[in-house]
Amino acid sequence: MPPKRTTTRQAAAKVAAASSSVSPAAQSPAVSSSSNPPSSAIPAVPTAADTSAIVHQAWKSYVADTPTKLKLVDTFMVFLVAVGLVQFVYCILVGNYPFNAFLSGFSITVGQFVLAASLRIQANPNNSSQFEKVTPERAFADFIFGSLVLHFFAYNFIN
Amino acid sequence: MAHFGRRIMQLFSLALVALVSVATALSTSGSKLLVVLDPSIKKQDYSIFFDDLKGRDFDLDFRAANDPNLSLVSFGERAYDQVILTLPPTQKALGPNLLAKPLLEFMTSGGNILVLLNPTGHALGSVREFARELGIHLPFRDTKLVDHFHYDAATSPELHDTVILDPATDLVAVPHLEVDSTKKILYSGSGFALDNNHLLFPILRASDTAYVYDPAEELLESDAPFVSGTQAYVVAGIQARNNARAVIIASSSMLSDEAFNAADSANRELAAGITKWTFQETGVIKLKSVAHKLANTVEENPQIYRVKQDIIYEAEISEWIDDKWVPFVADDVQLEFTMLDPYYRLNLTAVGVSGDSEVYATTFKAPDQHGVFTFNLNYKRTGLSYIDDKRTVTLRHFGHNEFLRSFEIPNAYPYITSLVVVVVAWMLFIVLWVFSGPEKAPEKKTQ
Repeated sequence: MPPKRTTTRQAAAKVAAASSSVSPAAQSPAVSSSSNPPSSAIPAVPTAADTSAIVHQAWKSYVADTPTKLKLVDTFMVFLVAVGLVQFVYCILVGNYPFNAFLSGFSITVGQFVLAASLRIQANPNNSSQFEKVTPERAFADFIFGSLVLHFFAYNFIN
Repeated sequence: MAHFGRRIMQLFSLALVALVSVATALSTSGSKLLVVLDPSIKKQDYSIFFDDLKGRDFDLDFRAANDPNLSLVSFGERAYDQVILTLPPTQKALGPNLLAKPLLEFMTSGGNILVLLNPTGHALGSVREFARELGIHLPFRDTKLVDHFHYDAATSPELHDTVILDPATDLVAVPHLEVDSTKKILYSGSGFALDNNHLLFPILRASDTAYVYDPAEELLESDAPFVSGTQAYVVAGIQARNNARAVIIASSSMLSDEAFNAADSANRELAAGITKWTFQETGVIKLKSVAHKLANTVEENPQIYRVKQDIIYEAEISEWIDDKWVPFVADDVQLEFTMLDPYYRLNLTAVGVSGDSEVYATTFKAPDQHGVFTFNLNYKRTGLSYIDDKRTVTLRHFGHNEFLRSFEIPNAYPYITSLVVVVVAWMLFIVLWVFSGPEKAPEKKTQ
């Protein structure tokens, strides 16, 4: 005589009763066996309309939820990607003479991007639990020092 | 009295002719001339030939081949500058000082040799060996050059072994030797064959209807001649790499008074031309000086250049005409700029006259390869002295401060602008970061 099964079923019935009393619209689909199929079925293949809806949703939540400082870093990073892309396309089209100049210009954008990304990670208040020794101010100081070293290298390498 | 007067006139005209045909050329290698005279050759039969030589300021020293005091070398240096060697009609030895080895050593030390073979065609083993070193194959003894179409009917009506050679077709050393082409050359003797040695200078060959054979074998014809046609040479020479010259004339009778005085004979003119070439009076050129320098600088012949620099190279060449050096004009002088292989082979243009020489110059850009390079002026033309001059310089690569700066290369402008733009944007970012306010706590959605 398994007493557990009865307990589970009773508990499940209680939960079903409780949930149905709170919000009759939101039913747990795992419990209800004799229920109508949900009104909005999950489609098998995502259509274009669904993709644009997802992107739109992501963009809205990004704009709404991200702090201003992080948005500032993100803008800077996008700008760096654009500058690096322009140089890369130019090098492919016109040729890589002088190669050291290309490396210098491209690597300053790439390096600055990496430094900005690490600043973003370390200065995000949501991540403060992972960085106990590094305060956002310390991260910013590291960012400045690293950037200065990078600029020094780039200006020397381009000759 | 009239007979006496006519005699005077004859002597006077002979002297005049002798004076007129005496050249004023002098030798650049010295005037001490040794004549090794075989007893079968009488000096008075060759008086015109030797007088012509004396007229060109040679000191003739007549010796017999078996003279015990005869030596080409004295105290380690050559005792004579030129040698005329006449050979006996039999296989008699010449003596230990005139074997092949002493003759070659004499040439190595800069002396010139003229060998006159005996008209009978005899040649000693040592002379054969000497000729083989030069690339000349002497004929067997008792052979004769015979031509049934061009022979002198007066002297050899049956055997046809006094051959008439035509300067227009048989003299191959033009323009170094030139002879009045309306006259003819009388020749009686044998003929030899040549190797394909680049240093050989063929002078006079037989016509294509002639051949060299031994008359004792068969009369008037042979099916196995030693050499025939235009491959048979009667006068040929060689100029060694140190510019010493040796010429072999296959019969001394070509230079006799009899041949000189024959009607319409060009032998005397030809003999003068041959001896002038042999004894370094004609066809002598000299590299007077070589200078190379960096363009737009003053220092001459620096030891080090850099890759891709403009280099100016100048060479001065003179030629010996008669008795002085004059500018030598040619359009085929070339310079090689070499490191193992010639990187450049450039034509030198004659830009002017400097003193007694012609200046040849060119300007070029050093190749984009560092290393040790040589300026090689290699001018070897048949009949002229050889010029082979090598100057070695170093080509270093760019110093660390000799590369083009980025702002001098238009192709690098996008990268320079990217550097500037990134740094400016970075500074802007710093300012905005510092002056953006503290973070607002994310609002919680409540229902």
